[in-house]
Amino acid sequence: VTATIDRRAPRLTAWVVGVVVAGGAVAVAVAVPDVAAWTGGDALAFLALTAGAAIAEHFQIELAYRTERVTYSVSDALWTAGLLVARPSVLLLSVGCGVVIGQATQPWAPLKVAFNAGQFLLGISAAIAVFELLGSPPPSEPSGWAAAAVAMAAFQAVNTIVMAAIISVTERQPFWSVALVPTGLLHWLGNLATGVLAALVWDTEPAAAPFLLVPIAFTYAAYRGWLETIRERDQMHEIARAADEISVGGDLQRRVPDTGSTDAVGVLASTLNRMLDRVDDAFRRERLFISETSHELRTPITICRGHLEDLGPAPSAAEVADTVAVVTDELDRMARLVADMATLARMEDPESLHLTDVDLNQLVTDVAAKATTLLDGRLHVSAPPTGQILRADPQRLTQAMINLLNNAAEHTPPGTSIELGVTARPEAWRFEVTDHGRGLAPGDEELVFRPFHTGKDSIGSGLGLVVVSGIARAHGGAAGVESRTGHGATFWMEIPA
Amino acid sequence: VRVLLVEDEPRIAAFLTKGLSRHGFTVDWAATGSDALARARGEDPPDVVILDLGLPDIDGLDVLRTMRHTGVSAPVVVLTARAGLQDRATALELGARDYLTKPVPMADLVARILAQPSPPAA
Repeated sequence: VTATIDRRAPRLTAWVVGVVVAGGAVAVAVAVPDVAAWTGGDALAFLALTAGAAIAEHFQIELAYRTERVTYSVSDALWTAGLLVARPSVLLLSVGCGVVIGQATQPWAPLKVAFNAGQFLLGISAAIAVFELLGSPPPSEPSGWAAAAVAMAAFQAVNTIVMAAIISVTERQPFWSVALVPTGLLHWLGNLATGVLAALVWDTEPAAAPFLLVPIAFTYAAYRGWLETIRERDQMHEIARAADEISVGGDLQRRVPDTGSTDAVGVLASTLNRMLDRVDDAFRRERLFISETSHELRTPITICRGHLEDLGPAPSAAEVADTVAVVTDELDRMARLVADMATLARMEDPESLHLTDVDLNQLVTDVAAKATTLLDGRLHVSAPPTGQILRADPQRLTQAMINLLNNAAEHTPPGTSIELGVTARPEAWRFEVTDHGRGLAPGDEELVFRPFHTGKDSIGSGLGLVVVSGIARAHGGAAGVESRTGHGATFWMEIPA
Repeated sequence: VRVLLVEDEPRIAAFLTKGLSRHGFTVDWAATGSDALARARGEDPPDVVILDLGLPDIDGLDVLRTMRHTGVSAPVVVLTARAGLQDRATALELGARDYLTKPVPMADLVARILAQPSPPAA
């Protein structure tokens, strides 16, 4: 178990770190003189344990817990075996060297490595003391296994206390609330059993030791998978809780916790959040649309109300006629707006499209016929030959083209020509209405497709082009405009063939 | 009382002008923000300004701001289709005396104009 240490840690943290590092240093200082008495076997055991510890540090399983990362490794198994078969000074020094070498390759601050080494040295010193107190029984006897278990419990206790101390001072939490968090009894038992087994094998036939790697590797993998499951389960719980709170509380600004990882849970979280983004965006646009529409309806209502009020108790026939004309005109404006709103609402529902095989020549000819009164000799049509069939809703396409022609008529000087054309594109048909007015102001290409982006003198509802774009999208297509400022504009709509 | 009516929609301006005149006000109509500023700072300044916010050239709130910065002292009554709280708060912060949302009964508008603190005797 290792701890992350902030370099700008408060004073109390510095004390804890200092005590732990100093304790580790004292343990090493006490053990070093015994090196002079080492045999060749002791030296070999030191090298083997150190190498094993350094390697074990690389096969760690990390678990995030609050600001700490709780790390599990098989090194405890190594220490258990070491307790049972190795000389105490060999064990102690290889713990120190192994941790330092193993963690030196990690991108951690030297202070953190020193702290971790100190923590393990204190732990292993406690274990050695307990084991010697119990008479250092041999690994071949059950009393040896029991002594190793008690000693490793002491090791674990020291580790937990040091760990809880550092977490409680860095997070300013009560010591016991951190210390009592279960930190892997199963893991500890597994390492203990593996260590005892290793000591037994070593005691009987050292050459058989490599066989132990197989069960260790399997258990390691299984344990790792198990932890992963726990972690994912916790994250799923958190995501579910957040999603539930969002759906009950209705706060669409909130998001589920996203760890940013690329595993299934991380992908689920980010997918949920993207979905929430879209829902939130849709609601926002809906609200904006409603507020813009109510604003848009206020003007004709104000005009009608004002003119009627202005009539007074005894109006002249001419005044009445004027007022009727104005009010009728404004009511027509409201009627157009309401009709366009209804169309837009239906567009959201794909079922509202009545798809049939449409002959494009027929369609364009019909549109041209409907538009002649409106455009009065200004319209030039280029329709494709008969027999070109498009699967679409003819009423909607007609409406879209009429809206485009209305738009062109409204924004161009009388007498200038307007062209309606249909051309084949790769896998789509392109409907175009080209005018020769002033064109759009630069940058207005996207704005004109927004609701109510219209001049005050406009007779339209302000939704005509929005409806065009809605019809195109309902067919799986798109609409847009190419403007030649000063020379006119081409509004287009592409419908997939 | 001289009223400067800032309103870009001619049909609204038409009945407001008629109605206000009938109540004894002298109405001066400006259809754009720049025209409104010119008239408000002109030789014959108004006693009250009725200001629409959705103007074609300058936003009504900016017109209000400019009036305040250039020493136009006539009380301003905002008369707009914008019903949002944000616009209302901004307008009142900028010194508008009142904020009315269209449509407003003529009697109501007249009462608000007459309620302004220093209207010279009509």
